[in-house]
Amino acid sequence: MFRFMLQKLRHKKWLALCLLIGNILLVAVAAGYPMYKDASLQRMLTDEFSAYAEKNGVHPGLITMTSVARKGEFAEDFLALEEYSTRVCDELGVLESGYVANVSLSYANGESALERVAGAKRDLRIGTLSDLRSHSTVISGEMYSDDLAEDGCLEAVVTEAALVQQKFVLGEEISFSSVKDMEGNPLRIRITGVIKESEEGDNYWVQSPDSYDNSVFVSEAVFNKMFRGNRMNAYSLNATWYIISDCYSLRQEDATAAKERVDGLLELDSFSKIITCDGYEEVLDEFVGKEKKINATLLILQVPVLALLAAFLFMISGQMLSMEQSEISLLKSRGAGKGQIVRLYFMQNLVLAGIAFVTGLPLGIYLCKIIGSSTAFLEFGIRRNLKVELSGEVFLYAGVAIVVSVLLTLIPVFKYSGVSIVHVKRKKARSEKKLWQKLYLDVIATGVALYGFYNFSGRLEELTESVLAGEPLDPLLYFSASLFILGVGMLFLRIQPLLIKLLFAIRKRSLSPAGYASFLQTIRTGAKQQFVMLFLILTVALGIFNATVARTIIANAEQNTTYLTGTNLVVQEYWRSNEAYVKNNPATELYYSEPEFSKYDEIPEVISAARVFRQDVQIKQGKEVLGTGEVFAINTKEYGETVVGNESLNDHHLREYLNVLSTNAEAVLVSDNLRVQHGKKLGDKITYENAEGNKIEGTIYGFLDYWTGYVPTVQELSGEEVVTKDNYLVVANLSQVQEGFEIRPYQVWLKTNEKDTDFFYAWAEENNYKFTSVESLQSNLAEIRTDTLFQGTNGILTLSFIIILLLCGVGYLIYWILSIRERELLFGVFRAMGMRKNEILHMLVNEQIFSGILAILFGGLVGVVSSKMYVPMIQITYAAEKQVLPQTLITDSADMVKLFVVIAVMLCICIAVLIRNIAAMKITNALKLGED
Amino acid sequence: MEYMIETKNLNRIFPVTGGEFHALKDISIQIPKKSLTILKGRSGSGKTTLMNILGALDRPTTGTLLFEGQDIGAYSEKQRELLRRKEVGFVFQSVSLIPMMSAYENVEFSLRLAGIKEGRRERVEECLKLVGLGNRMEHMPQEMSGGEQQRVAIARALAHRPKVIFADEPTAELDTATAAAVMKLFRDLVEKEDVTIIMTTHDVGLMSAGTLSYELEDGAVKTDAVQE
Repeated sequence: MFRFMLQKLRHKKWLALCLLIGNILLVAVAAGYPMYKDASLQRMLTDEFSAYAEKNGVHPGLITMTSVARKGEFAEDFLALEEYSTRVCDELGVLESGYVANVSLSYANGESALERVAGAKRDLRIGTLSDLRSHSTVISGEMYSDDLAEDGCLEAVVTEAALVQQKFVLGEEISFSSVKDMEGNPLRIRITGVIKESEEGDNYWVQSPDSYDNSVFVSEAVFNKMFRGNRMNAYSLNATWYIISDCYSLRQEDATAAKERVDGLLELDSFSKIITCDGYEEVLDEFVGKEKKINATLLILQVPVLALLAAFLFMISGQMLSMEQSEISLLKSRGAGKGQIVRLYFMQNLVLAGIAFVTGLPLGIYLCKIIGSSTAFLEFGIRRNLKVELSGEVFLYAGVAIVVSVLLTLIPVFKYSGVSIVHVKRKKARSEKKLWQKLYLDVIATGVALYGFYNFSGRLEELTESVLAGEPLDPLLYFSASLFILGVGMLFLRIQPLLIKLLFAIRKRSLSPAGYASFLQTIRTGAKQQFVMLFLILTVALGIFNATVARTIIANAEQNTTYLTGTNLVVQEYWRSNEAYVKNNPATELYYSEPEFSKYDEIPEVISAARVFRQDVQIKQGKEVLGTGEVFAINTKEYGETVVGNESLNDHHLREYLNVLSTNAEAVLVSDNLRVQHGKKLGDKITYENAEGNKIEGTIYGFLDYWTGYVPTVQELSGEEVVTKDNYLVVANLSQVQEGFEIRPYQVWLKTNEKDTDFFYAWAEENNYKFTSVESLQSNLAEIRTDTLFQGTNGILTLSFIIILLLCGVGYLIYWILSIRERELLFGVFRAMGMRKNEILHMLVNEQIFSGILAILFGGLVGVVSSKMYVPMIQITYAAEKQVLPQTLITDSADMVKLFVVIAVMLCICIAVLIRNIAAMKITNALKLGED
Repeated sequence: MEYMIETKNLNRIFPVTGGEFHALKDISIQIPKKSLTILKGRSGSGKTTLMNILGALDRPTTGTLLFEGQDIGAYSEKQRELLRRKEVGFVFQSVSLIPMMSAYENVEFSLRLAGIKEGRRERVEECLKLVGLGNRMEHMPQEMSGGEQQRVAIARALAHRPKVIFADEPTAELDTATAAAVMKLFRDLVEKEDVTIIMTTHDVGLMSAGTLSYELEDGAVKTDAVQE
């Protein structure tokens, strides 16, 4: 039986290959989901830890514990905590990669024995850093000894910062009258050396040596002997334990558990104030929030392509069986039972699935890497490899895929093995209504999808809220979109035969023989083609839908980011001021010295530069506060030349608004919500006041909906509810604002001809300019593209699209070539009756138009319509928290071109195969086919 | 007398691996108009090959083939197609109806191919009644028995009033009674429809049913024009 099966497979090698391809893709996609999910989440977790470190300059895994024991008071807690510090990483389930204990006496005033500094009062901490020797280098003098000196002096080392700050001298002796030594005399220390970190970037120095500028370090052994143990109750001890957890080795699948442990730890009342692990907690918090959304989104996005693959397998399996009817009846005539035939096909499917399992997994890994490198829809380019692992989950998914595939391809077997050949033929003769048509499944599916659509349309706000709360895309929404495509596609199958029949009835008399035959072929055997047609509709529609989703979310996010950023580079230079002085002398007026602005124009890469002063203000009318908002003070000419994009967001072109603003120094442009909510009109006066209490009056010269960087409403999550707050905008002339608000640091906006920001940093370093912030549009955009959610979405949609193209092409080709082969005898008859080769070709092309091309065009239509309906809603999931711009539907015509080029190539291959087959056809040979 | 079909020294040679196969050897036959000519012979004797050449489905390697005195051996593919459409009808051994067309449509299709536009319905009905299937016109081929299908095929071969009908083993798959009925139909047609019928058979019992018969053996004519 096994050999028979192999023979059978060899005989039907093309169909068997199709089944195999379908199986391999199914395994690869199914196993690819957990592989990609895990790998990208791991990358995201690691990235977020790194980002935290970069942003805050602190190791993200730092856990800090502090305790104080005051002359015996809280000594037990102190010791308990000290013990706990050594195992806190175990408690949190993470590896420890560094441990530093800084135990010291409370500040004590020391008096130097040196004349030069005699009388100088120095408040110092005498303490220890655990394992200091192996993490520091003595740069002058020598390390303390671990024994008490003979003269009873404690040897101590200090950092360079302390040396400078406290003006220590090597060998200097300092005595502390408030701290007694073991004999009850004032404690004396001697500075023996100056140290620095032996290695830069050593985690040991989570507190940099510079921060220990009033500490002197003594040997831990000496310190413990003198101030701890049974002598502990005589002193006040302060301790800070720095534990570096190896958060980078944390595995993403453990993140949720890790977060729970951290939360549990921090919730314990007794520890709540003395343990902090901000980075660890924050990153995990954020990660766990996103993880759920990413998991769900990636899964939802894969379902349609999995369903299509399943449908493909089902279709090919059905095709194979319908071609093997004679073999089946032969087997049956030789006494094979239904069970044996089912077993035969089961074995065949199992063998194919087995091969697919072995080859699908490596393909899955490869696909993951492709997804991981996607930068946009159908674009790849990120070099960073994903570390893909074969977890148990991967095998589970692949296994389930295999089982589903084997069962699915077996379904048609039951249909064909149970019925006699006569029955099948009879059934073929009259195209009976299919079950789904009798049950009106098409109408029901479309109806449910439309209901879903209207339901979701009415709940947009709710959707937005749930997204803000970190919920993933509502699976029902995506399901509703897929159901819509399916339902309408099936509806088409119901209507298409009626259309063809109508057309036939109208033109019946005047049709050419070829046209006549093709109409009849389509009408009478249409039912057989329905699955292929549905498949074509689904693939084309889903292809367009996926492309639109991917393009739209990315394009909108990019436009929004451009809007919020403003221009290529937004920098804030460091302004010198008397701020520190004013802090101590509040009566003094604060002044800033404005750095030279013209220097920016001299940077070759800068096209134009603009000063933009932004400050939060209260908008007032008289004494009444209308609301809070932001003032943008600009120089209109500079601004107009520098701002990037967004010129046409408002009713008029940006230029016109700027022109109006420049006509009067007091002119302001304000946000439209001041008109809508407070009835402001052109020419009205408003006052805006900053936190310092300075007020400026302006006259309204225009209303704006959008202004680069301005967010009209702020949605905040307060508790469970999303609260929408209005935000107001005042655009004023810079000179006017500088007059009213004094000169304060403004942003410098730079439009550059160089996307990379390196030139800027180089220029700043070369000229020794200091900047407190540099924001680059380029890196903001890059952030979107590397965002796990965006990237995963893009990658999966791209992959789905490619698989769809492949299935569409293979499915269509196979179907046509087989259907031609099946009819070779018939073509022989046609030829014998005097039909020309061209007429036969014409007939086949007609058939392709009636079924294939019509289905493809309809699929295109469904794709566009469903995109228009559902993409705006799906998009919400990807919208930034600060989504300002109206979200528009983006379709890249290049995608459509790609889709249709593939289809066109496929059709051309079909037609080429047709022409070749028909040209090579010998009537006499074709007719002989029927003689046996 | 002008013959419907006349051949002079027809040869048909098929290239086969390692040489040639001489399927027809110097066939010279004359088929008069309004005759029912039977080509006899065992399978492999070359009768189907001869028939295919006579019906302009295949070309002779050498020799002359006259169709109503015209040398159709020199015809272009297009002329041959036209000949097949208008002047010739075929009935094949295995059932050769177009499966997606009903009995009526199958017959009508040959009229369409012959370019006949007027009086199609009447002619189709007439032909189907002639073969005794006036009451089964709307049936699909799959819903009919082998004999019924063969009769539809005959009606189709007849409908466009061809000069010659070629029938290749038309009775091979039929039971004796049905086969006899088909033969009777052929004889009736020759009389009523002014048509020449050439058929092949290996069935000894039927060999005397025609007006003329040739027997072929190994690609050559064994017994010449036996008048029945």
